[in-house]
Amino acid sequence: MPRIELLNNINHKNLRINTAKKKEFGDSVAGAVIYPFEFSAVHKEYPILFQKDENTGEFQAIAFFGFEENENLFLGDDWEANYIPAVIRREPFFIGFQQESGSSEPTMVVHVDMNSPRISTDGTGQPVFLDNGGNTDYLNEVRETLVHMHNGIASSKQMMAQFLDLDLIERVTLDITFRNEAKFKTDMFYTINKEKLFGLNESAVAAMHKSGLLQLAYMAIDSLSNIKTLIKRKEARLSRS
Amino acid sequence: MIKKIVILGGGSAGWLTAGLIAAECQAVEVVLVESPEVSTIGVGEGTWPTMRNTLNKIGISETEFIRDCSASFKQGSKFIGWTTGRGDDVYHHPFTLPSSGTECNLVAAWRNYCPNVPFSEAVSFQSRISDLGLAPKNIAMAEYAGALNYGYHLDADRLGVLLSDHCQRKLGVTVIRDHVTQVNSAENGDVESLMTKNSGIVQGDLFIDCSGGRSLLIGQHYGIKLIDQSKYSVNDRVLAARVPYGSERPDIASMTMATAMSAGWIWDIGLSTRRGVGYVYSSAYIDDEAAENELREYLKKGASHSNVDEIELRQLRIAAGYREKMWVNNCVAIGMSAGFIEPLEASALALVELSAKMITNEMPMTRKTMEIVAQRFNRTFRYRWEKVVEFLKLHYVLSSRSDTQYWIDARSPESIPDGLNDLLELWRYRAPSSYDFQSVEEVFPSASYQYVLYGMGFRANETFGKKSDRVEVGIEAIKRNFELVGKFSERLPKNFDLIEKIRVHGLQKI
Repeated sequence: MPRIELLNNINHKNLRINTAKKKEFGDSVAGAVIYPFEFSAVHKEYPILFQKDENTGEFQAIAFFGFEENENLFLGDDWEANYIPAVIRREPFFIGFQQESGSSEPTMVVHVDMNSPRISTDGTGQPVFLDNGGNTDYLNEVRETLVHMHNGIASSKQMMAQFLDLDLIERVTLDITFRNEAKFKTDMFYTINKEKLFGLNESAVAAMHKSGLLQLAYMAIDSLSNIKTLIKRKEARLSRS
Repeated sequence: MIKKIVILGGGSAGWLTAGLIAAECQAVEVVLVESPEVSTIGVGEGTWPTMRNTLNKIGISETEFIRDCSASFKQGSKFIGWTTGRGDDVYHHPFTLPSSGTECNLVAAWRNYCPNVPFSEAVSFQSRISDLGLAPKNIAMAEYAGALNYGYHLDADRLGVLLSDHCQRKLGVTVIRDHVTQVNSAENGDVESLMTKNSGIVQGDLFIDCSGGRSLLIGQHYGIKLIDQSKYSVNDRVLAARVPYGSERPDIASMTMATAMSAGWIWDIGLSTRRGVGYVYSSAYIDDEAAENELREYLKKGASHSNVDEIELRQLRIAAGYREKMWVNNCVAIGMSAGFIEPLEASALALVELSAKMITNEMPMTRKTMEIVAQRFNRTFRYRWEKVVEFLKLHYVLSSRSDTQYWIDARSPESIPDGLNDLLELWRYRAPSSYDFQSVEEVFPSASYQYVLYGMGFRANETFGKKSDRVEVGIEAIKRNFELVGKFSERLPKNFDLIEKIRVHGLQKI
């Protein structure tokens, strides 16, 4: 059970966070939700696919790290990639908003899950606050990431709505046989239909170009070549064990 | 070439027909004449699974339909008290067909493996899922897709509004809101045009009579007689009520509940925002006041509403029958103008869908080919009406109730159509099969007869098995069904919860 607390420099004066990427800190995950602002970094490392949120049915973009539950093929002694999605990097912090009396705008606050394995108990890890009570650079980065994610929810919805309106999303069947004959088959995921993207008329393409949607579509398509990288990583592990 | 179709009547039948034709045949001009002086009947709240395909074809999104028409998911019918009238007397007619995967005789497997388990539970996992109040799909499934087969419970008035709006805005159907004062004939007897009170003459190549029970064109203009079916289907009165739910988050039933009463039966339909309940009875066996008392007693038992005595009831008179011909010259009747029968298996809208579908299938059409089409249409729909009458009768003839004269008379030999008698004789020795129902698009498949027959405890004679029965294959299929109940009950939400999610998030198109 998470234990969510409002972050402040009195109660959490000495709080330190395990920012290293390790299995024991909860990093054995097979994928993570990503937002449009990350596509350019994500698509160079991981396959990007779309999946329906099981609670809302709404499409969201996912970066993949593995084929099975709790399988992160990038996780060795460290996370072997140049970019780690925001959802992972911000852990164990969450964004929140508070309505302060006398102010019309809600102010952003940060919550922390004190039951997260990332909470350091042995004095190692990144400090959250300076001795004088100010934010560390680490906390400022986390805050920035949380704001990006918060804005990312809306831009993600907008991106998916436009892809769907243009009829660009199609279901994809992944049917993979690894070298040791093990199989992976699923039709849970969706991607951009290349032919339909190429078939769009000029005005639609121009509009997509202006809004940045065209680049996102190409990056999603381009990222699929990373499935091969993922398979290689999987097979390397299989041959080691 | 038929280029302009005029539909007379703006109820569910008229608008469904307009939508299906306009969506399929864009080259044809569709005009619908709807009288502002005539209100639609507005009952008929249950559909078949075919409605999903129909709405999809018309181009209506399922999300919009569910939000706008107070719709909920219908997975079949549950019959309470029809066989013995005792407390445990319940059987289901689910929409999902018995599934075996490969050819085998599931009835033989059921008798062999688990004769004490209700037939529908053995051959389909839908009855159990429905009894748990679960939806046939979840929010992550696309529009019109389901884990189980389903139709809808809906508000017919709102469906009319949604279809009317969609047909005009998206499909280019023209509406004339006016009263028809006269039918003008051509020399060959065709309808040439309709004269309206304020909008002048409406000319057309084909006229579709969706004017309801008044049957303005087929009945009144052409004088085509009704073939009376009251001998087989005696109920002639309906008392209908709209019943509010007692809770903000109601447990919405997954099937239409049909409860046998002293002189008829009560339908109980769970929409997303209210229930629709009605007593269908025979005035020869019960007077209106006693019927009203029985209905109010029923509503009190439901206990969802405290002021049962204040619920307003609407009475309708009904008569079972269909026209000798549905298609005459350049005029065809669809909906209640073609025929009516009690809503026991919600066949009304399904027949509308089938009628409109047959017309679109026969397009393009000329005045000359129309003669051939008309003959085929009349033959097909006469057969379909006969089958509906027989199938509904089946629900009564297997009853052993003798608590009222109504139930005793309901199975008297002279009240049973010959066709049904023959089938019942055959089924003493073998199960209903697709060989019994050989037309393309049978209204009810042989599985439906099996669900009712074995649901009501029909005992076949001792016979011998056949090699093609493949009982072992059937037993495996039954075991799989039992397993699927567990698997699906974990994944499927309650009806209310899914409808709530659809209201907030919508269903995806893919």
